[in-house]
Amino acid sequence: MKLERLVKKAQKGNDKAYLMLFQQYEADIYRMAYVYVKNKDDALDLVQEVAYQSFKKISTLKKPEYFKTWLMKITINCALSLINKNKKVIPLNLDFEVLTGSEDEDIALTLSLHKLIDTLKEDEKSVILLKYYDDRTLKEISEILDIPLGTAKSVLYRALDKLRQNLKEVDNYA
Amino acid sequence: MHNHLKQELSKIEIPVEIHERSELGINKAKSEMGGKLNRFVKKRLAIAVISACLMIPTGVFAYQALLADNLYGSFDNLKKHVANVTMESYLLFDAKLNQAKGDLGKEEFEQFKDLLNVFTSAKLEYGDNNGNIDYSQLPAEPLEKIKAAMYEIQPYFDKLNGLPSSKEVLTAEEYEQYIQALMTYETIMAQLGVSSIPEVDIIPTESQEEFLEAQEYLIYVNEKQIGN
Repeated sequence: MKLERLVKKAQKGNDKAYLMLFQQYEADIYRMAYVYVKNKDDALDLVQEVAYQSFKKISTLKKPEYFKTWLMKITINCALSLINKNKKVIPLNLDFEVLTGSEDEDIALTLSLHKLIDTLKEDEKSVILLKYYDDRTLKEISEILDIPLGTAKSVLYRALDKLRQNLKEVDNYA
Repeated sequence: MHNHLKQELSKIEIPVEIHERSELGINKAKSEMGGKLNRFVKKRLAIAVISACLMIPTGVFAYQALLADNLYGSFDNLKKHVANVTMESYLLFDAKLNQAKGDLGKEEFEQFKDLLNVFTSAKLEYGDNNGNIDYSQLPAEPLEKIKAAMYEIQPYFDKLNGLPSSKEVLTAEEYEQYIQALMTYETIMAQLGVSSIPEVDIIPTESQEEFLEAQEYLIYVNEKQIGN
């Protein structure tokens, strides 16, 4: 069924239609959430929270075609507020379950996910995720994150710089 | 960078319980807003449907009994035909009709009576205990006849309900779809053998989509009529 129809149905309170719709994006939401919160449990909590908040607010979505963007925005906001809540207790433990079984892979590739998750600050993660995972333009990113275009640009370049530095370091070891 | 990041992120495994968590979140939201949105929508829907199709099965008979005793004799007699006609809907319709006499011109009123007659006979012949007809089981000829009558009578029902005529509010195409939605609704109710609007859950999956679409359309028309 078409996205627009599902959104309209959901806006009338049809939870089954909304579930159908939401499930198309839950993996993306989970992965984005994971980058922020760094663990499975919190990321799952976030998926549930985004499902909850988005369905509650679905009637406020004016243009169904922006559904995904809108969902991503909610995801980022939920992730940031969870992080703020847990700020003092975020473990610096680098034990990533995502990396199990990846020994054979290119170390640079592997490390960049580490780097993305660990080195980047929240705002940098948001911009990088939206730009490269969600294929948003800088202008869209500035709108989604409610920041000036110039800020979006500088955050993006700063983040890319950090990631490149990391790749260089890896190259040096090689 | 582009594909690289996607590739990186795809390494994050998706836990199996993710569907469950999505559902939990949505259900929680539903249960909280449930009341608000649902009751609102349901109330509207009830008005739309009562005004449109329920009134035909219950009301029409009551009306006929009152106004055309020669047809059925009395309310009791009528009840033999339609088990679920209640005294309340009978009286309600009586009141509506008194109102109609005032609102409709003499000629209009006569036409209304004629149209009701088509329904009355159709309901008796093809309707179930609740007066609902499963239109999908109807032979082509009576189906056309009833549909034509429905086309004509709906504006009268609107008038009785104090709403602007659906025929005027909607475009010809929309009106056609509206009548179709009413018939779908009645068909599903007849197939289920229920007298009031069923919950989606009890409708067989294959008809759910159709039912929801019809329902959506009835709400749409109703909203248009009340000027939203």
